Amino acid sequence: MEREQFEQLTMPLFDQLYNFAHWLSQNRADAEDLVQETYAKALKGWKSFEEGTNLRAWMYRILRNTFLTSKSGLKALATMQLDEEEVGATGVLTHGSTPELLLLQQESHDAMLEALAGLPVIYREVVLLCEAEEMSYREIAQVVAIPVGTVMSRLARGRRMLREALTARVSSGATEARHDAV
Amino acid sequence: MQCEMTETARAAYVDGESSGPDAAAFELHLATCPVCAAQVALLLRMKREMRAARGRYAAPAALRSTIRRQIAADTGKPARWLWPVLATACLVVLAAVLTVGFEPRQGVWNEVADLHASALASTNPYDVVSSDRHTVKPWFQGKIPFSFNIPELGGTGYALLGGRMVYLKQEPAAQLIVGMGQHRISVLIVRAGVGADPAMFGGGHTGFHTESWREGELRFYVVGDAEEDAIRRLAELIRKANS
Repeated sequence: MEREQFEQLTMPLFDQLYNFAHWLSQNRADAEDLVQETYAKALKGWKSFEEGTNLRAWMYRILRNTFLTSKSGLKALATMQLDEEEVGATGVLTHGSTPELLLLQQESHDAMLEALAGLPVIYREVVLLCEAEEMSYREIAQVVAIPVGTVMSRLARGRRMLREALTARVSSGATEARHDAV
Repeated sequence: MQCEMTETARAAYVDGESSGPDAAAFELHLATCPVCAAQVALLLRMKREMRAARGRYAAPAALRSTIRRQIAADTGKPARWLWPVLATACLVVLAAVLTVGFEPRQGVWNEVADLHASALASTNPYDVVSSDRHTVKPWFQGKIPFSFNIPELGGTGYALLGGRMVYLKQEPAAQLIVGMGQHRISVLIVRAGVGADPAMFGGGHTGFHTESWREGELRFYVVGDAEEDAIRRLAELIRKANS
């Protein structure tokens, strides 16, 4: 039966989808609604899912689109400057930032996750899909519906912003911010 | 120091997205470029830290059942006939858990036996070839996250042949190959707690004779087709060197 097949295939993704939903929406109640809505939409659209294509990417895409078109998603999008996107993705570093490395080593992973939560949503999602979900660039491209090249530039930018946030944490107080690193 | 490598090229390497030749070329470059080395180290570190994002938020159990109900039907309640089915399913899961509970032990031994067999079968079984323990031991430095002692084997009938770095249950491990006449014996050393620690029992089911024990933070496995007594004596020598 169709519903059984749907359940068998999609429920193993449940825990990870919830985790991702929570990371996107940043609160539990929204995350719960989001996951529930995702499953409802996926079930409704189950006929349109083409067998043999990537189910995980399909589910994540529904969740992600549902979030971005929700009230909190729209708000998250509005607060970031889209024009910053995809700028200087292939920046060449002119020095080996070893002091930066040392600084980051003092940071706990709690600080890292805190910085991640603070990233604008379009960078947060690609970093999460890459690092937490361990998706390939191609799979991320399917979820977010952008070209692989854009996945790479958003990832690069997201990571750079994370490093900046962490470095700023450590050296806050010191006037010599290391902006020359980018 | 200037480096022409792009940020995305480094990221692709770290994310496992470089194809074979690209990755090899990048590794060559990496070996001599301090800028890339620092950046790659940084990326790897961030990657490791961020893996914690994966299990950060646990879904409430109630949500799972809500969704299950939604999928099952829009009426909301599971059908009456479903209860006996659920109860049976629970028993099956319980039985499976009980059975699988014993699996890790076997699993470790199977992997240990496989590592030994693959070293025997390989035309190039050693990463470091030396009968000198003072050469073999330092070779592992920086490759595995712990250190251990190799006993002096001169005059014992055993001969150190070499070592290699392997993975046991996804954890880095040291494999020493020791010869005794025509026999080859593997000594595997891994951080304790990798896989489930097996109790002290010989893994006769692998077709090899085996010994295993725990010393502090380390777990040792000795495996080979030599006689049981030969395995035990070698285990004793290694145990003494590490206690």
